[in-house]
Amino acid sequence: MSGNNTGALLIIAAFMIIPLIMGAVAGKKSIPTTEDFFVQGRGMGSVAVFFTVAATWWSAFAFMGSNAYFFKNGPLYWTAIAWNLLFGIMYFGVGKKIWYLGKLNNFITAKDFFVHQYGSTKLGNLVAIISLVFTLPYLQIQLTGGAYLIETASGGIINFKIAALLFYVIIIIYVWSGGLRAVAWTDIFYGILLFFGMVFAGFYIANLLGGTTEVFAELKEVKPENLILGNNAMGWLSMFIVTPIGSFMGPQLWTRMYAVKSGRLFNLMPFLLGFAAIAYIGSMLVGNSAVLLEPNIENPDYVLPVILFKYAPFVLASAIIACGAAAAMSTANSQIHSMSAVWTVDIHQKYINKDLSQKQLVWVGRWTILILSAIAYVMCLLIPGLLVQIGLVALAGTAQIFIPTAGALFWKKSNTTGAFAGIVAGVAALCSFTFVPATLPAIFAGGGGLISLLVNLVVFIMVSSLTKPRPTRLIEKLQEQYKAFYEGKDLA
Amino acid sequence: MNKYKTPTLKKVIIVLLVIGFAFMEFPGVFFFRNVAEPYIFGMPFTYGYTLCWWAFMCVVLFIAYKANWGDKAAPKGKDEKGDNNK
Repeated sequence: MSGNNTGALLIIAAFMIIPLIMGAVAGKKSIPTTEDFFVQGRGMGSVAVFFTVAATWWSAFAFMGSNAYFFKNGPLYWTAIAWNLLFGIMYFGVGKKIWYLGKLNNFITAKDFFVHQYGSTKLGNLVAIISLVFTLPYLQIQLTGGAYLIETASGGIINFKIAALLFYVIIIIYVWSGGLRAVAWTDIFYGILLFFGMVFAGFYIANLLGGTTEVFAELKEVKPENLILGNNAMGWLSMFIVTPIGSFMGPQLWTRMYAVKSGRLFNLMPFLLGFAAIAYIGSMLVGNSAVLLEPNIENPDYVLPVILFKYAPFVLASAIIACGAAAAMSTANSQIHSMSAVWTVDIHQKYINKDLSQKQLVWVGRWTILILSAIAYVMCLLIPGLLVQIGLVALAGTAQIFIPTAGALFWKKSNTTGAFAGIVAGVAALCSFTFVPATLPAIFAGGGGLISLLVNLVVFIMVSSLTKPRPTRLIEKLQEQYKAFYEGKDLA
Repeated sequence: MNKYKTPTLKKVIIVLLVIGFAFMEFPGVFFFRNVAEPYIFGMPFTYGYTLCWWAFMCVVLFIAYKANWGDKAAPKGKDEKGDNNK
């Protein structure tokens, strides 16, 4: 084993051990209740909230997939600058209300919100199923991306299967021990790595070609089509809307709305999350530089590792790649944890064993983490696919939940029938556009996710307008809580 | 479900944000999709132009935060004491 390999393995070891230590400390602070395990007793402070939201929101999709998109499609992924801002604004505009209602009514999952707002368990169950079904493939791409990065960072000493296994064993240990607290604390570590890794990689690679100006001047000669948006307009708009909404509606983000301690923090998050979007400048520089340095890369998802290991010192490349693995791990840990909450609270507690104590429910949550991880591991070994392609379909699936969520919060006429019909129509359209692409009119090419969301919206409005509204008593009860929110009443 | 009057400052913030998003997303699609020049900050037009609007949005969002988004007061959480929320 060379000195380089030893250095790389030490970096990977640190990357694995530090979160374990943080998880162990978080575990000591835990108390065995579902509220503590799944939403940290609703006491998450500002630093942890920012980093856990940002790191969960930025996944392998952002770290690796973005480079691939800039490499293949020019500025298309640059719409990410706008979607980060949109995500932050939604976290404030919608998330703060969900947080308030969650604290008032002790919600733990998205289903709790829907049952409360619409008075329908069936609708809540549909939301829980969509959360699980569409989050699983997104989890799988984190594992695939993360495992590949660890394999690459180790110089092949740790192969893909072992890397994926290591990746999940680490997550399972600290989530098992510390629940959301452990996830949030480790996300601080991952978030810092992720942000600086992205930015540093971009400027390092661009400087090899003389700097940003030189990269684009040369690109103008070599591949001018990479400098313009061209015919990607529909994709530009679709990604701007579907990506933040889909991510925002993932179970991991619901958890991160309920867990927040202070309402004031929501006011600051749009600025923080929007400002952090500048890190995409790193991916943009890597993707565009790669067109000049390595134009024939076979799998664009692997642009970053290919470039780094060829043009940067091995240990430095390994360190940056470990940052990429951090992106994958910080999303995967949150997804596993929140999916476990959905299963434990929404399904197991309601339909399998209603009489479990809080301590027993936490144990169900832990075993669920183990089982979900195993499923994702098998999927990762069996299902190949481009990170961004799988990610976009998965996000378009969870995005369908947004329409009835906004309807519940902002439109009095919205009702269960409309919400149910809208979600079913939206998911059916999405499946159709994904599995039978010919069903999507050519003019909307690249915008299947957006069109399915519009189908959902139209059906939701039409059906809600034509059917019986929610019961007056329910509306009155909700109005009281909304009134308290708008008047800025503190929670007792 | 909100039948309470939205403060004027909040309305201004919302309008500014909508303008920001509109200028970030639509000109690129309708007018500049095949435009690479002029270069801004050494980057092709789409990149530099979007960055300018990003800066505008960040300023608006920071002002919005400082002005509490035009609201009188933000609701506090259970057991929340002062501003020691680290």
